[in-house]
Amino acid sequence: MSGLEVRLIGDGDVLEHIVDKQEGVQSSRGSVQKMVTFKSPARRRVREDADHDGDENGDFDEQNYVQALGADDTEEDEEGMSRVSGSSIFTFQKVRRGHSMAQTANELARTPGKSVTFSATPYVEPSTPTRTGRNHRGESRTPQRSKKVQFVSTTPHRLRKRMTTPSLRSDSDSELSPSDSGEEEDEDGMEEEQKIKEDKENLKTPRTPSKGLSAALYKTPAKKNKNTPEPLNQPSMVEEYFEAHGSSKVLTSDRTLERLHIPKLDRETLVQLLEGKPSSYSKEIQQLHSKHQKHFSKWMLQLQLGFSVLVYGLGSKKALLEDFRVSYLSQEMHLVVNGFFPSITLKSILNALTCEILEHQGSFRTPSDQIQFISQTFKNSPDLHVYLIIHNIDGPMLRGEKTQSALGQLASLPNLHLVASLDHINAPLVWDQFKQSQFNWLWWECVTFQHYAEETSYENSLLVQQTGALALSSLTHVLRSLTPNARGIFKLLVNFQLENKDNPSYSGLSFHDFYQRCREAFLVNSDLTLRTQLTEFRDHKLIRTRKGADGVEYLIVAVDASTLMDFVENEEGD
Amino acid sequence: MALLQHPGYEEEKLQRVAEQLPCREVQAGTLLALMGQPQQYSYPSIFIYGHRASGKSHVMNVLLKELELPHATVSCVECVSVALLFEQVLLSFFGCDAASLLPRSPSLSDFVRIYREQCSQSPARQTRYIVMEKAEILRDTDANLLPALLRLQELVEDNVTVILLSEIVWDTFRPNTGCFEPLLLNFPDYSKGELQQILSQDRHPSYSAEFYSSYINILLGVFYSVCRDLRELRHLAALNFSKFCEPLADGKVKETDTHKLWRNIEPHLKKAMQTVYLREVSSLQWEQIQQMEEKEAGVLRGLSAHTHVELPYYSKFLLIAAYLASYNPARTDKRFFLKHHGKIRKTNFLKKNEKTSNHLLGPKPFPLDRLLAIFYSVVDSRVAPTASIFSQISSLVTLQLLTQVSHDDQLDTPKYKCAVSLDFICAISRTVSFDIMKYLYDFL
Repeated sequence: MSGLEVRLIGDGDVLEHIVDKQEGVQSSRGSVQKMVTFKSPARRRVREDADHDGDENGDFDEQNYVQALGADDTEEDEEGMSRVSGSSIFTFQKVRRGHSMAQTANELARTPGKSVTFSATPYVEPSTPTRTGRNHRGESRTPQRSKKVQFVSTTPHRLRKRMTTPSLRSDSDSELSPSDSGEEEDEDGMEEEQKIKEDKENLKTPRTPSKGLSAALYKTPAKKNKNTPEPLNQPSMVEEYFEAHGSSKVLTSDRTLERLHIPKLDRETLVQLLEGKPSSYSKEIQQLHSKHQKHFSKWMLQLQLGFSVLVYGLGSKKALLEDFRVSYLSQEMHLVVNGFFPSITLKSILNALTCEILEHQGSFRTPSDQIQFISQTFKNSPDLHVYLIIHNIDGPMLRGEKTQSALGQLASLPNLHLVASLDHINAPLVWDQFKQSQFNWLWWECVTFQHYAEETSYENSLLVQQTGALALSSLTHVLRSLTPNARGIFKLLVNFQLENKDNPSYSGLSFHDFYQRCREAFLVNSDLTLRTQLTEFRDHKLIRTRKGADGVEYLIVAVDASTLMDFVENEEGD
Repeated sequence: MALLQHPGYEEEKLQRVAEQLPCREVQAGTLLALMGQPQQYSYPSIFIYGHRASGKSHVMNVLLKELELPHATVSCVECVSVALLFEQVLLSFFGCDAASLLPRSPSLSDFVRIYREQCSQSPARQTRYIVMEKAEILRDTDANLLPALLRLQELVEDNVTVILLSEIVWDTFRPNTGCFEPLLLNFPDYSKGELQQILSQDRHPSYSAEFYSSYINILLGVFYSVCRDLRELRHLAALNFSKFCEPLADGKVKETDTHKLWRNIEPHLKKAMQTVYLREVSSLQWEQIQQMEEKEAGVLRGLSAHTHVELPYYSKFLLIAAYLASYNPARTDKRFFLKHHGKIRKTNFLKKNEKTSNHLLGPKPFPLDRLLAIFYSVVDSRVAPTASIFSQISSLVTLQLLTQVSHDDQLDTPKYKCAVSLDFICAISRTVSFDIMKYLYDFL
């Protein structure tokens, strides 16, 4: 139990894991995940005392949640807790009821059966006792409990409650105050020493024989499982979807970030603040990393055999691919593409291939011409091997149909090898059967848990002040949410600015001229409409206005010309 | 034939023209009057419009050919770029040398310049005619091409007339900035009598004219209500004539026994309307069927009968889910896919007014997560949301069984529509034994 164990598990296991945690799998494989689901009888007793009718699902997650929260509060538990909260990343956090959360907090404070979980590990502190007497009582009552365990479809109700009353949660948080739990802990601390003894006895009891620890863990959930109706498990998620989307009422809150009246951070301070918080699992993450590193030679072989390697999983895979590049590809010809970069285009990738790697001078008329040239060159020189590393092949600028089919054409070349990473949950939608056959992917699950530091550095966050000009992806993103007319208005301004980009004395389009042009194009019907539209653009920082010498306002798009050209090309391409 | 008289042309040429243009004497006469004598300046541009197969191109061609006037006939469908158009005009007026003078991507002014150069070398003794067929395509080319063509006489300072042929009225052609208005000339539709007269002309040499005329009469009686297109009718007449003559060849009836002939051919023509006319069965297949006596027409399955597509198991369910998502309102999802959907009273539920309209209005777009939710509730077994499921969705899009609605973002919240018919989805759900009718709101 020294290190965090991560295994490759099959589809079926993943599914079981995602869909229903409480379904007991009797094998020892899923032990890491199943730790979460363990519930001691003592805890049940507490619950029974409290006499509330929450369903199992909710409670489990509440427990996880509180554990994750409370990891700092209860120092003694930290090691054990942190493990659990780590695995709770896997689970779907469900909706929790404010009141029951307070109860679980109480339970936690009493630390019911936690010690059983970790009693064998050196981490467990003596301050997490179990009451064996209650243990037996709880066990005898299990069948009774089972009636309450039945699936009551209260989830949607609670969901609604949560949506309408956001204050509930904060209430429950306050109930989780450390003083509250601290009292009880002191109380428990009195009996500490004898509890330890009992604890050890407990381990030796026939109920938890000296199998593996994980086997013992399974005892309870397996029993519980008999009570929960199995076929309900999968539909429950579907049902939750329909419940959540059943009513057409859309509740919007006016509690925006503006109301906090806190000035926005700029990027530097944000980075500084984040640096002060090192990851608590750096050792484990390092272990994971080195574990993935072992597969590098396999990747290399598979690349030679004509497959493309696709790396997926939680966490940033950039460091891993970079490691792969340094250790295996440093002697080879390779090209690294940062797909997360917001201004990357297919043209820039192809240009890098032709100019830098194939050392071709001159330009091409269309991307298909360029691909034609690349494939011809590769065909003529079979000894040439080029490795293409794409970080985030599902990046915002690369997910387009044309870009992907162009990349697919490249990947199907026998002496161009592709290594890519992917992060979006819907990323497989990009490839249909034909493109998949071109790419010939081998999917490697590489969960790294590393921060998406570089990948997210270009993203627009509400908390961060925007610096500099807009990137291409954010430009398209903002514009796509606008009406066609608004887009037309903006495009008019962009085209005018591009026409005048070589003119140094150009100071923007005057409002009056702009209005005339918009009217001619049937984009606006009145002065006022255009002004409203311009305000919207200004809010999104798309345009700037400047008062001219003659007192007339001039409008400028605050984006540099090359980005604008790419933007116009993209729009025409669509 | 006395209608066609014009001082500039020889009598016998006009005679030949008149023979080739039955029922179009009035239009040909007007055109002749507009064209005037060969050496006279004609109107700069004439716009001729009329329905399909009303003889626009035919009349123009016959007139220009028979009267031996210099002309260039250009089909705008063929000329994908203006360069092709210019080349063809120069080629037919001045020969290859002139056409080769055009630069690689010529502009309108290049064309005008070369035309004028050539024109000064060989000035026109007669009016030159440029006939543009399917002129409606000119609207999609450069904005300056159509106004320039209308003023070509002025631009090149030559005796040239541009004739535009189109099925579309002139009002939709007019540019925003205005142009030189052409002379409008309408070709009306052929009446039934005219059709009869024209169709009876191409009679079979081995049968009498009255016999063929009675055949055309029967044919028009069947087809005239659905089709007035001369070309289509002529094609049908040619296809079915051998069947009409069959009893005659067998010696069962005489040529004059029209009623029996009619009784024989009438059901056959009705069948032809459902098959050959809709191009379900190709003309070649139809002829083969007629030759093989034993094989009844209609036994052969047409094109539209082949709607069965073999799909993977999950793709079928994805398609079914997409169909349900497209044709069911989202608010009814709870009722169909939730076991415990609470109390939705039937009366409350049935008070909708869009009850019948969902299939009439066509498919509605739906987001990806709704598709997946319906998919999971429709499939009995448990399906992992693997990459293969997702790529099957995009494969269905590629196969045009689904369509992606907005091309805004491919990954974040993609929206789809189901593009298959009810019959198709019923056939598919039958193969996986899923009762789709039970789940469709319209058929509740």
